Amino acid sequence: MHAPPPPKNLLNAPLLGRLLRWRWGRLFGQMLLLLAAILLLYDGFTGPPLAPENLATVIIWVHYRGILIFTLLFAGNLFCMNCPFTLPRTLARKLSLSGKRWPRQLRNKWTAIAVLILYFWLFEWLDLWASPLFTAWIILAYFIAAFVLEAVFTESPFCKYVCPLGTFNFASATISPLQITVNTPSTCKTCVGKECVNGSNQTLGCGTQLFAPRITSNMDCTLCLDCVRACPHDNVALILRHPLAEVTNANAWPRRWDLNILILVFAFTGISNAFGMVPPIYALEAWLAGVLGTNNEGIVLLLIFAALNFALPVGLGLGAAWISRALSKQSESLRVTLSRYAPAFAPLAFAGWLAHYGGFHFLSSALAIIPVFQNFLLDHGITAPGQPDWSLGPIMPLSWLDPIELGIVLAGFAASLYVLNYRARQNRPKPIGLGAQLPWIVLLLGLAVAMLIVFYLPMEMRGSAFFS
Amino acid sequence: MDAYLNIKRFVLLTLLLILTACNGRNSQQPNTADIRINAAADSTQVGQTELIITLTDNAGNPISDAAISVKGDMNHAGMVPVLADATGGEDGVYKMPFEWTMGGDWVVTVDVVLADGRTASQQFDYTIAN
Repeated sequence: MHAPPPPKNLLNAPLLGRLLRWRWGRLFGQMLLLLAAILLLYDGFTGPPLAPENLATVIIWVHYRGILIFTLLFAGNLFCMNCPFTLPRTLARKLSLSGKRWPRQLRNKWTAIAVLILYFWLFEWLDLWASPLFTAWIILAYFIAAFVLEAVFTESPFCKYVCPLGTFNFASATISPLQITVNTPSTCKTCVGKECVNGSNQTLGCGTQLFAPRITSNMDCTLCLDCVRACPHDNVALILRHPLAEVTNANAWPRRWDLNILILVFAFTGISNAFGMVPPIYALEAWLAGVLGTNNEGIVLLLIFAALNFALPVGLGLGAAWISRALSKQSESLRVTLSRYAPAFAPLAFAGWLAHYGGFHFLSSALAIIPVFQNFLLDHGITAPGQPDWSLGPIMPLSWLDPIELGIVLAGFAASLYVLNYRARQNRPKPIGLGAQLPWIVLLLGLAVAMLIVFYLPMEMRGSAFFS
Repeated sequence: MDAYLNIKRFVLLTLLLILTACNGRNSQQPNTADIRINAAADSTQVGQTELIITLTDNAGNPISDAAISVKGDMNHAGMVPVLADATGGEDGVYKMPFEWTMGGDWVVTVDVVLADGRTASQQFDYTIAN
């Protein structure tokens, strides 16, 4: 018998391990991002009002999103690890107003789903991509929201239950190759203090209340590594895993409505966010405005994005679950059926975001940071870097982008089909055949086709549909 | 506790440094010429077009010896701008080929340098259809 080799613990890697375990390692990363955030706030509030010339808009809507999505693909949730918004946590905890826990009724993903949908609505309604000022306000709002929630509640509810960036990262990280686990589970059974989650006088425990030996998913893990530093037995590990390991594991996620609906919402928002920048959205807006007899774009967009980002994923998800259950002749609740198949949407959903943020915006615009930064320096009397060359932007020929986006979506679709079939076959006591998977295959195919149609439509970024 | 104080000091110091360093933004081309700039595009559809810039002084007299540079920006951050320039207008009219590379909202910035070195700049908004 050949036992599989134990997963490689990155915390034992020569240099990387020392850096990750370093007491001030996270703080160092957070300080770097805090400096970047201060720079963006400054330029957003005082710099050029034109989005392509302002560091706040270029770095947030091109570089942050692009680097984030590639980092999630090749490593994991490194943004949450280095998130500057949680830096005032220590101060907030000192000011702790009530010491209460986050309300029990809200300890789920429904608030996170609502905030995520609200955030994407604001993105379209306020044209955040076109406004350095609004982008700066959004950054400031993150700091304030994180601080207030940390001050009012004892745990870290902002990260786990509210933050739309965190929700996006958690959902994406379900197919990331890094995960927290423990070296020896039996050590945790005899551990008295459970410092990894409870913390101690010297160290913080897990802010999102995850117990290291029970971690089977990257959902809710900010990769802060507080558990690593807190464990008195040096038993917590950061391992490399197969990117599909989590979504093929039937026991990785609890069978909860909120969690599984979140993944469907994550998939649909990936399409609707790109749909907001192609011509049909304006025709749809104008039509709906006519039907409702209003020119209030906020209301029109709210209805469109509530339908695309919530009603559609919930309706189609439940419909597919109902048909699938009928075809498989299983006597189980719709929640159980949905929980069996929803994780299969994670690869395609992530592929949609990767194609949009990485395959299009980042690859087509990454070098734009050079003239924008030159312009920023010129604005402050620093002429050494010379005049900005505004023609810089793409890091590869633009004609390559369409095939790259196609490849990403097809890879995501193939991975989702694999996961779907794997999860169906792993069902016990009886594997589920292809027939019962059909509604899900149709839904995945529909999503993949919708992605490609939207990505291949010409871009048209307007401030408003209501122009003459 | 020490770490907390260090963080606070670091943040305050950084904010102070940035606020001290950033005491003004001066690369914007100042408007030293009191002239009128008008811009028109042959087409507001995606594709090739011709930009027509007209320069006149306050009395309405054409200015034909200026150097004009044009930068067309999409409103989305990161999109590569379209650049064009022209010198030597005819009766104050300067024509230059231009390309709307995408549909959507554009901001066209016209920078003018007169023969005597005075400068002027103005922005024009366009909505381009696919």
